[in-house]
Amino acid sequence: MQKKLVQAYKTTPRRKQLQKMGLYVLPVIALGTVLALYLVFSAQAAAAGLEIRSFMDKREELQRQVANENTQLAWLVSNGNMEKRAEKLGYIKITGDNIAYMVLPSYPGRGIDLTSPAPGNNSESDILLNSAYQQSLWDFIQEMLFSEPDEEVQS
Amino acid sequence: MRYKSTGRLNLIGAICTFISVLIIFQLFHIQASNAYVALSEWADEQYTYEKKIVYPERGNIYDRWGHLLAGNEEVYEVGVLLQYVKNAKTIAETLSAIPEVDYEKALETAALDYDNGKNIYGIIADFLPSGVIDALSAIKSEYETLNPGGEDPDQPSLRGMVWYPHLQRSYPENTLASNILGFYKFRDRKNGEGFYGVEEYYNDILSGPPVTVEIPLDPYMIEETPKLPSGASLVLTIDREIQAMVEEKLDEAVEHFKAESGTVIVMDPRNGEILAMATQPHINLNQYWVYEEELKDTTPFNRAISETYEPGSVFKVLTMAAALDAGEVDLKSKFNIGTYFEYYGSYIYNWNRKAWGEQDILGCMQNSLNVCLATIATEMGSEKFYSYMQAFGIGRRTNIDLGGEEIWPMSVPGDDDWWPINLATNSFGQGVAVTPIQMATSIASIANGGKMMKPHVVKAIIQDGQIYETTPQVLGVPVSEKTADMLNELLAQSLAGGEGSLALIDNYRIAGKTGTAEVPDDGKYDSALSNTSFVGWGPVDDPQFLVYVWIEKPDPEIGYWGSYVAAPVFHDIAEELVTMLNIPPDSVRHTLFAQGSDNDQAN
Repeated sequence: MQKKLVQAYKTTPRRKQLQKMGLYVLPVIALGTVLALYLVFSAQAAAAGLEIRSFMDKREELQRQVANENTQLAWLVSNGNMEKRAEKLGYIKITGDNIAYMVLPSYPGRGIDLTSPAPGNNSESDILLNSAYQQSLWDFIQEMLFSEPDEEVQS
Repeated sequence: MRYKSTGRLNLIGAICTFISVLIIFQLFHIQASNAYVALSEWADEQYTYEKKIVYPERGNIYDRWGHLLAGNEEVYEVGVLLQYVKNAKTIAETLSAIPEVDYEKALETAALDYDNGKNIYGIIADFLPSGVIDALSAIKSEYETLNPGGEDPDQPSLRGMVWYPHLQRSYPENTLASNILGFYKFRDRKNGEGFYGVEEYYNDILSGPPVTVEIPLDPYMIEETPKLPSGASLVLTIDREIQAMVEEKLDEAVEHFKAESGTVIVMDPRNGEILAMATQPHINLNQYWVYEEELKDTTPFNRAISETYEPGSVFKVLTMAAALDAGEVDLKSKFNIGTYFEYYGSYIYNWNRKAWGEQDILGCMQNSLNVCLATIATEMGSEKFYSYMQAFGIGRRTNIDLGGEEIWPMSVPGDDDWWPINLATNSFGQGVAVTPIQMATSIASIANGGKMMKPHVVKAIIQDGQIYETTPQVLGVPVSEKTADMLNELLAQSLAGGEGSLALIDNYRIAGKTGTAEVPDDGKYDSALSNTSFVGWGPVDDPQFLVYVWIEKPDPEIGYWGSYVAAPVFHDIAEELVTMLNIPPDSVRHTLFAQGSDNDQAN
């Protein structure tokens, strides 16, 4: 005889409703969490971006100031000013009679000695961001898993 | 009841799903539409990036030891943000205290009505030094305390007045080496460029290309700052102390002889480096806009490279070099020098219009005898003579790296303006026009064993911290080393015993030649006026410098001849030059050289 198994009890409608609501609310909560995280990181990125802009402006200002200071220094040590200062300090122009010449075997001779550095970018790179912030997590994992290890340097 | 509840729920679900699908479809539809693409591009252009043209800082110019000759300093532009102006009169009154600012014009600008998109900002003054800005800032703060926010229209207020810094070309040495440096028209901030000298010749590399940079306005879009190429800097071959000394001596000479002007070139014949190049008048490069007042009429900016003149007897160095090299004469050649030399119906006279009897080539050069040189040139023939002159670069540009080099083409047989008598007159430097730099360059080949070096003023270029030194270039070898050495010795003997003795300096053996030329005026020569020149170099056994002096039209009552006017200028310059270049007296140098050789052998 075939027995028909019947469940001894049923889930209450209220519990079923709660389960259903839970299923609906769960994605909303997840979405909310993602949004909250996104907002937090976005705000931080925005703050960093603004800070970088202000640093760039500051750098421009400093470059102008450096150029200006260098030129002001050049005014102070200009040939005319240096001659006046030398005279004031009691120096006189040297003449041939007052010079003793000698050979200095290791002396390389006078060379270029810039009183102020030339403008220009001496650094190799202007990268603002650490490399860790320049790749996605996916790129990072890919690089870790699939990139070939550096060859050993033969000495 | 239960059926109804499930049915409603399904219906609501279906409606929500349908609406969601509609929304998603519409989103895709909008994103794919042309209108959206256009709007997106426009918004990107307008609001995502700010386009900014960046003018790289103009490169510096240094002398050979690194002293700054041209740099950049910070100055300010003062203007008004019209939206915030509260009291235009106060702004105009305050700024009119600055000499360059006119009250009416300042008031007109400050009182303009604000119109977003049209009238937003007006410039009242520019190129103000930081001291003026400090004073303006103090006044503005004071008024702000008295009248906060500028609310009271009867009280003074500088609200709306703003200032922005920028760089301006600056020449710390003022007039020093102005003819070499040229100037940068910094008052034209958008289209400024270099004029004359190295500022013109190297304008492109000094300024660097302007770059359009897109700066993201969205702070999320952090990007690497683009690497902007800055202007390259130049290290000149000029020594500022030698330049200052030469300018001082030249000014003294021009003043003493009441000359029209003067030019001096100091050159290293071994490599063509110009150590100093002085001319008159000097202009203050920081006020370049008045140069037209300083340089009257057709006065060139740099006579050393831009003004041609008939050099006179200094040209005999080239004629004699050509004759020696061609084998037309040697040290034993003798010439009977009469009162005049007749050639194609024209007469050539010596400087004193007297006969000199039998002379060798030393006597010809020592006494600067026109008849002798004309005889030699005509015996040599025009073909050989002009071939040598072309090899010396006469009538051609030296291509010195300075803006504004001029030449006067040399007439040669076959030209409409060439006559047979030209061969005779050209031999002693009349009827031929040259610039001082042409003469210095060609004669330097005699001091340098026959090798003619290209004159240049840039020793090195600095780009992004790297120094790139320029390489000396040989323009040609117009005469052999043997000829050059022979003439070198001949001109040293000539100077030691001849009329150029005022040029000599104690303890150093110098070679050189004077020159006095009549000045052509309206097709005839004006014998009352002269162009006096002297070229000298030394030490004779190891030439390290060459000085070319040209004093233009001295007062004939004070001095007329090169030997009296130009030779002493050479003496005064060379006397200090040997000290500045650390060249020991000949005897000391020979001793030191011998010691050095002994040490080398011992090691």
